Amino acid sequence: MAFSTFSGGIHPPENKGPSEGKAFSNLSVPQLCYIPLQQHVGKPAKPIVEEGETVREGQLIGLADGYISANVHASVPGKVVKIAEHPTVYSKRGMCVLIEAQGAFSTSGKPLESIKWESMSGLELLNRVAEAGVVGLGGAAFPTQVKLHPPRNRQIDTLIVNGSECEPYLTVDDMLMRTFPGEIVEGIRIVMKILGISKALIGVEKNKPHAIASLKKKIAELAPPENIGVAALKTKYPQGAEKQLIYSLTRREVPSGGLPMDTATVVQNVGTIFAVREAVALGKPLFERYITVTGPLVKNPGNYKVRLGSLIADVIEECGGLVAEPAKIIMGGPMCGVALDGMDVPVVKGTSGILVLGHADVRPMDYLPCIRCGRCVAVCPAGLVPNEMANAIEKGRLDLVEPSRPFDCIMCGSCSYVCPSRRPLSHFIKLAQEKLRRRQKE
Amino acid sequence: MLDQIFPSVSSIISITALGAAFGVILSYAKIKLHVERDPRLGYIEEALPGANCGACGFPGCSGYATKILDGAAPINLCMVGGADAVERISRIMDIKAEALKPKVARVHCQGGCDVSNNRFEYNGPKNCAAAQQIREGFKTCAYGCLGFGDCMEACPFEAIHMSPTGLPVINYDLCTGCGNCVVACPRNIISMVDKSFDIHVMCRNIEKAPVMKKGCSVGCTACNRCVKACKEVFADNPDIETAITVTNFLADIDYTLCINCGKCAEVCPQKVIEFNRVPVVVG
Repeated sequence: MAFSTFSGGIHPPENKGPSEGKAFSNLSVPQLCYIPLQQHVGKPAKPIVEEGETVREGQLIGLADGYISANVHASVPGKVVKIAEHPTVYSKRGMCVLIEAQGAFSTSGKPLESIKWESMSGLELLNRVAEAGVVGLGGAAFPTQVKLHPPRNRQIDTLIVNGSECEPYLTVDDMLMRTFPGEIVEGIRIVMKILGISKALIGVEKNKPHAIASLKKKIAELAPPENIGVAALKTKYPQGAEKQLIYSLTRREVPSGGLPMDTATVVQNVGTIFAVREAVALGKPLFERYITVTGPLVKNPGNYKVRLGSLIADVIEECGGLVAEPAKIIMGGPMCGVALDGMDVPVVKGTSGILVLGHADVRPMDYLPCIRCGRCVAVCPAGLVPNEMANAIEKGRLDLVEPSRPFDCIMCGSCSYVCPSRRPLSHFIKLAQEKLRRRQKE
Repeated sequence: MLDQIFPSVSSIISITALGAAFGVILSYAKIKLHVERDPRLGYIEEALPGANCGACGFPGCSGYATKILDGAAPINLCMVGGADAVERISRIMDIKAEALKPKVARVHCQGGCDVSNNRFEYNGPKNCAAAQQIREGFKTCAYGCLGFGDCMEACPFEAIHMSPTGLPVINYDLCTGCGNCVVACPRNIISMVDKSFDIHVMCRNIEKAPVMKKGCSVGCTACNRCVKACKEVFADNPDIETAITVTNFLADIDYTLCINCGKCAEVCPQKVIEFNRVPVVVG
């Protein structure tokens, strides 16, 4: 059977073994929570609490500042110790609200009452999503309410749910679909209502048969039936990249420089769908999330529910610690994640996993000149010519980079992965993007 | 008949005819398409150095000359040409303008790889701007030189080379003060200083001394000895208190007051203040 896919892409070792199929367990609440005010794409939230103030669990502490921004909530009840700079995954000096845990938990451990959202209007539902500070939980952390509110002149006909989880090592989306298929289907229905559409497609890579089966079962149980399909996709990286996923499922291509809505689709990660459902149906703001903690050095790799603002040092400690000196600590997956320079970084909304690699897995090597073999061109899922761009920017020739359309690069890193000269091609392209952006500003 | 005797006659005739025809077309085109060019443009281009460094902000010397002619740009923007170019252009354009003081690039870091630490191993492109993208640089000092030589690449006059410890070294004979290195440096380590000033603070770290010392052993510790020395120099002068101050835990020289005495450099325990006289070339 042929599975839907896109052209290009790579097949890195999946390495999902250590955490695959491991049921979610809760990590304990951190004593001190570092909650960054920037956990999303766009402007950082404005703090609305003061030092010394006592906050409830889930209380709004940062108000969305502007259209592309998101609310931030307290993950633990307690006292605001201070509002200060602290390293975060996005910046070395991000503003964080430090909360010392104390007092009673208002929501945790108690069954939350379900709200009848079916009778609400789409706009009401959208407001609930915005209030809860939901952002894209796949890793990009784009504010969800902006994505769910396309301009009026844009027709949307399909919701695409991203359950492909093409990143090696990560298993959190897989486990979400296995454990909470009913909640995800309910979340899909909520998002469909917000968008006013009647068609949704869930894309799951075929290496997750349990997830596909459980979702299919829940959809079949729906009464009245809804037009929600589950499509098995070829297991290939970057199958879960937004534009590639749209193409795989609908054969529609996002134009150069365009957005998914140009193809009349909206893409949401399953984690985001789950968070939308919690926000709308339970009225629970986004202050905790599921992550995968994995890697050859983690003693107890698995899938965990963790409060936003927990330091990854504490998270790893609670997962049994490390068995050896780490060589690389990555927030997210190995392909698209961010390598960190320390463990004092808090988990944020966009953290899908924590991956710790040892010296046996990381073999740093100096890169060599391009041999023009064209492998990067063959694997580029965006149809670009990475080697040309990298060679040009290496020589400082911005004028030669621009016609190669570096802004169409989705930063998947497939080119760097296959390069026999070990050239950091995607980093070169990232550099070109930054330099071009700076020049455009001038 | 003729072809048999001189086989190339027909070729000669046709080529000649073609040549003549094109000649007529070209000479007509020259008259018809002639563009009146201000002769001053050529003179200005000649007065400019022709380095096309872009420091004036226009695309090359020719682009700048056009703007001068249009009156859209002041005539003293060329750092490379200096006073000489301004003088010549002012005669051509009949505009008076004061020549800018000649400037040179000064490096404000002495934390080479022998005296500074790294926070992590960096494996990406060998390029300062790219290194700065990853967790804001791999050095413990967030302000120090990354050492891949973006400034060296940017210099159109080959006036910069990298020392064995990874610090830019400026050849003051070749430096024209164009400022391209200042733009290229992602950490703002190079600045343009008037050629006549010989004293420079070789550090950009604005952290307190204990934080700074974690990353580098030769940074400014904000000990204030330079300020004290400078105050002694200006003790007799009621108008000036000191030309050097410590702001944000970093010594800062006010070049409007500095008299180039070098007393601050003498007392600096970290040898952060450089006293380095640039040979002034006359002409």
